[in-house]
Parts: sequence; structure tokens; C-alpha cells
Amino acid sequence: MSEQEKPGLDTQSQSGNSDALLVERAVAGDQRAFELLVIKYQRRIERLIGRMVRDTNLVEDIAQETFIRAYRALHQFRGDAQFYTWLYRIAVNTAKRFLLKLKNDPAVFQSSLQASDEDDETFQRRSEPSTDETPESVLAAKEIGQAVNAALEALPDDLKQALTLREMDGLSYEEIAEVMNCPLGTVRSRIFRAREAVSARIKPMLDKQGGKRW
Amino acid sequence: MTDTSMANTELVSALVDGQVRGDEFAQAMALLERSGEARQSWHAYHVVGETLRTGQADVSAHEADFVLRLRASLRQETMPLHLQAAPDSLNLKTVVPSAQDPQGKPRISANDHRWRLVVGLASVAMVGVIAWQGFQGSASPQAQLASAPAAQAASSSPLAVGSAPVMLRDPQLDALLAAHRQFGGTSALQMPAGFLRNATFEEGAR
Repeated sequence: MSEQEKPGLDTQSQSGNSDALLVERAVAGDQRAFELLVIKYQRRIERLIGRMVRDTNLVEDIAQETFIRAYRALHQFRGDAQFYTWLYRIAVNTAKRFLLKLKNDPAVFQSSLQASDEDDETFQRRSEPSTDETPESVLAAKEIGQAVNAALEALPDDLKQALTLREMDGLSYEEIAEVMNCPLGTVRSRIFRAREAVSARIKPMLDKQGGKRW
Repeated sequence: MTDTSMANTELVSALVDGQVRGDEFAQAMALLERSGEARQSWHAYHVVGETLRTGQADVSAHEADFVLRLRASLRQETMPLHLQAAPDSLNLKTVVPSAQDPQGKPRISANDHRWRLVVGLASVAMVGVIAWQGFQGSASPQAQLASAPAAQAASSSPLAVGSAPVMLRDPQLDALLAAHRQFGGTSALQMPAGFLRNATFEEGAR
């Protein structure tokens, strides 16, 4: 399991606050609020499950089931832990149940189960494509990565620094304001402008990947 | 992008960082509710953040389908969340509408709760009855034994003659009891029973 998937190592410690607010709204019946959490965590959850299960279709099914279970149990989320930590446990339990169910069908089970060495905590994200990853999608992901890095490098220093401190170092707005010696509002504005500039570069690629979807 | 649109999208960015509260949070949610562009920004901002943190973009082509599929499943979940069961007790794939629900209406989960209520009440009633019977069983023999002398004294049995009651005896029964004295100490129940008199042969006592 790579570092990024481990619960509790979320560099966006502040994002837990918006998660709690979104959970609150979802519990009150706002399904869109829950969908925002899904959009946010879907990739991480699928990566996590992908370390336990080989079949990518099955990964998606388990991820679906994970979010459905999470939605049903959302009222039990007390906010003591990060939302992702809670979701992580549901995903692992759901994947285990699926695998247990599949044990009745050894042929499917063997093909679905990842090699045991990949379950190791130190295992890094696999470099080879999974079963349904096409060369095009691998290339697109690579292009998006390069576009993000290129866009970041092209940013004015203050925007670049604000976004880096936020996303890579996980600093809060207050801490960034202290580091950059500027008001909170300026921090918010700089981070936003930096994100807009970078995402403007990748939005066409995202649209090409999945179409107009949100 | 207009100034208003910029300000709106800045709200989404701040929401990504958990930096909006109160009215601003409500505004951001309303924006995300009505604007596909805002939701695209929400998605793109998270992809940017993940790419910067991991050094690798991880976007799959089925993300939109995933959310649409999930949305369809969640629409089946019409019951208020606070009334629903914990996930550990659930079977896999339970949200798929069953064949008994051809119109695609959500399954009537409220019925489950009614049945649960009925079963719960029945269980409580059963426990109450059993407890009452146990209480009766343990309390009545002593009560009957305690009241026996008074009842005896007050009785005007035809066996009692004058102030000193004399029991009429059958000589054959006496002989039988004398022959089987070893079996006469206890009743067949092996415990005190208010409704049985022990038939013993105690010659000396009479």
C-alpha cells in the first residue's frame, strides 16, 4: 500500500472540515453533498481496492458497494476520525467480504486476487496497466500529470508558492498567510487563481477522458 | 470568466480546502447543485491536488459512469439515513431492486420496522409471561405451606371430630405404607408441592 492511501496520512488535514460539513448535509438528505465526497475520494478508494483485487471491473463494483454502504451508515459517522479513515475501513471490509464470497468460486478467486507481495505496506503503485487500462488511458494520465507540472512551473511565484504550500505541504490557510506574510483573503485568492490556471490546462483532457460529466 | 463567476468558483476552491462556513458554505453548495461547471472545477481541483501530491495523475475514463451508477443506486435509498441499519449487517448488492418490485419503486423498508416492532413486543411479552410463571412457581408452594395450618385449623372436615381431629385410617393402607416405608419420605416430585400431601407412615408420631 502506498503512503497516500494510508488513512491518517492525509496531507489535506484541513479538508476534514469540509468533509464533515458535506457529511452533515448528506445525512440531512442532500445527495449531491455525498456525490461531492464520492468525486473527491473515488480514485483513492479504487486504488486501495485495486491493491486487494486484480479484476478492475470488480474493483469498480466493490468501490460502488463501499460508497453505498458508507451512504447508508453515514449517520453513524461521528467525525471523531477523518472521513477518509472511516471510508477506508468500509472499503477494506467490503473488499474482504467480496473476496470471501468469491472463495466459493476458486477460478474467479485466483484471477481476482492480487499477488500477496502487492499487499505489502511498502508496495508502490504498480507501473504496469491493469486489465482494462488501455494504452490511451495510460497515455492520457501521463499527459495530465505532465500538464499539471508544466502549468505549476508556469505560474507566478506567489501563486505557485501558495498552491505548493497548500497541496504538497498541507499547510492551513492561516499557516500559509504567516509564511507568505499576507492576509487570509489573499491566500484564498492566490490558491484559487493557481488552481484555475492549472485546471484550465487539464480540463480539456479530463473532458476527453470522460466527456462532459459533472 | 466574469467577476461573479470568479467569485463563485473561488468558493469552490475554498470548499476544497474546508475554508467556508455558514452562508458561504450554503452558497457553495447551491452553486455546486446548479452548476455543472462548478462540479467540474470541484473534480479538476482534486485531480490537480492528487497529481501534485503523488506526482502521477490517476484519472480513469469511467469516473462519470461511476458517479451516475452510484446516483441511480442511491436514489433507491429513499429512507431517511437515521433509520437505516449499520453496514456490517448488509449483504452485498442489496441495493439492486428486486424482481418483486417491477415498477422500480423503492422497497418498503418501513414494513421491516413494523415487523421488527411486532417481533420485539412479542418477545417482551413472552419473557414477561415466563418470568411471571417462574415467580408463581417459586412463591406459591411457600405461601400454601404457610397457610396450611390455618386452613387445617379452620376446616370443618368430616374427618375431624370435636376439638381434637382424629384421622380415620384404613388398616390395609397402613400395612402397605409400613411395608414400603423407605419410599414414603418424599413425594414423586422430589420437592415440596403445595397441592400434594406426602403419604408417610410415621407410627410413632401418631
